[in-house]
Amino acid sequence: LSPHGYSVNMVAHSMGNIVAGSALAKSAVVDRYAMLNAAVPASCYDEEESLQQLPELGSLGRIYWDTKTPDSDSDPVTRFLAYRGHLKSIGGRPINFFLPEDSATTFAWEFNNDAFKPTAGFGYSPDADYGSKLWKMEPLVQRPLTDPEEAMPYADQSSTKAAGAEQRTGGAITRQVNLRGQQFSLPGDAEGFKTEHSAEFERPIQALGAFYSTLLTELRLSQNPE
Amino acid sequence: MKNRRLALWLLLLTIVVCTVGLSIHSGHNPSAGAPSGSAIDSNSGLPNSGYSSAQAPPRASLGNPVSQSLTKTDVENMAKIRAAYSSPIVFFGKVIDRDGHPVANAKIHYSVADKYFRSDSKYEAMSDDSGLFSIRDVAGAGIWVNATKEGYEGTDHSGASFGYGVPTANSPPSQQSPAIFVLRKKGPGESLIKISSRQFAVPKSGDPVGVNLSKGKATRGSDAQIQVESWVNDGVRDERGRFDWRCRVIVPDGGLVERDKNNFEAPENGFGPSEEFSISKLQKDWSDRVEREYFLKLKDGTYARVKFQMMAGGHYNFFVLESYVNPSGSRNLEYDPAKEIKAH
Repeated sequence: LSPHGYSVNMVAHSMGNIVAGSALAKSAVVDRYAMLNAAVPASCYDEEESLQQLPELGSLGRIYWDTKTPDSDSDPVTRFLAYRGHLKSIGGRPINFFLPEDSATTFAWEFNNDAFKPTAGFGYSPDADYGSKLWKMEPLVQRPLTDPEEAMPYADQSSTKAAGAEQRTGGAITRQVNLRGQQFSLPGDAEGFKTEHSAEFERPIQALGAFYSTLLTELRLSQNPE
Repeated sequence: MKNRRLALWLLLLTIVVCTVGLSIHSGHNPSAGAPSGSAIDSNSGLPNSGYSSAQAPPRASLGNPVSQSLTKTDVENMAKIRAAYSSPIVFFGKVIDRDGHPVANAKIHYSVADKYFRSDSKYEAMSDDSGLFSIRDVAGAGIWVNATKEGYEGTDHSGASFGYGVPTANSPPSQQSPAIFVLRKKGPGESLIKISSRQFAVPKSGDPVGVNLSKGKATRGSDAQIQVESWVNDGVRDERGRFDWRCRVIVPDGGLVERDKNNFEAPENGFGPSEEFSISKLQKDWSDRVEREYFLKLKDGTYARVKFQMMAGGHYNFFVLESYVNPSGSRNLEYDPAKEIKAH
């Protein structure tokens, strides 16, 4: 389409960014890509060490961010199956529309990451032999994982926050738009999308003019195409 | 031969074990993290088990997929979620203005993350004469709090979230050290002409595009109050897609000065006729855009404030303006929606 003066752009919301990122990693070509409230580990796009979270104490003595993840494993095969850097080379000039206090990509996503990754029946054993550290328990054997698309959703824990809540995400990300910005607020308010994970779709369209205007501008699309 | 026989025995054993295993666990999917088809508890957002998490799960029975859908793991997982999402919340806050004075009777909006992957519960409270408030008798993984008041405007510090059950965001405040929320007291609102973010295409060859901010329209005439020129050489890009470009913002017979976003009164002097941006593809901090906020002194002696963005290159080379013009001649550029003058 590009030689004819058109552009191809992609917008994905929440876990839709897993699908979008996967398509881009498999050589899909778009001019620009807007990531809305991305429920994808920030480390996928950016390998920067400082994004890795430090242990924190939650309720009932549960400690968050204290589990070893395959992100920094010494085994290259294990690291290949981990989140870190998985989308670091995607094209499409990704624009991260993030919301720092999004209750889905902070509280819920981080709790899920801590409590339910690896999923029951899957595991990560940092001291196991190379090539067999990530595994699934089959009826009789512990099967080593070899496919990142099986390892990531079931066995890998993230060592970073979700990109959709992490302003510092760089790497493949070319630009950040803070959905907490005052311009995105409801009348009489100044807090943008607050904690609302899907405000783009759930608020009245009359209150979303600034958001969609910004989306078009970021995608370099005219508000009034001829 | 011996190996083949051993393999056959192993295969047979595997089939027998799997069959027994399936018979024992039939009716649920052992690998599923959450049950499907369960009713949702309207309070917790969890699948409704119909019994407390301390009780044993019901025995699965063949042929009834609804009643047998919860495994022991499911029940344990639900207990973990309940524990994280039912942490008692006791919160202390104080609302002040930018000078540090307490703001009484500010409206406190708070939403509690009390449902797993579902919308928060929303509540309201009020600050007292000292700007203080407290929140009790709610429970959740965390809480979002923000303050508003008529005649005041939110700032970067008028809302925040705090982790209780899940330690994301800020740590809970104490009565001795309450969380501080800052509002800006607005000045008297003026009758301003507002243009919400509007795009204007601009040639890459330096041909100027003028905009009349009172009309909100591009103009080629002498009524242009701001003018933008751009030179964009995006036909010659490096291997990273970068290119050289520059642009100039001009206020004909007037001037512009950069604005602090918290300042709503234009200065009396310090205005320059134009600002130019020159971006080389060799620059480490190369970007195909610039953003600035300005106060403008227009040629008729009136004042305005604008947010300017230049988006250089590609099929659509354009700039974006958001502007507020005070036609009265006052330097006060505080916006009051009730007094807005429509662009004409």
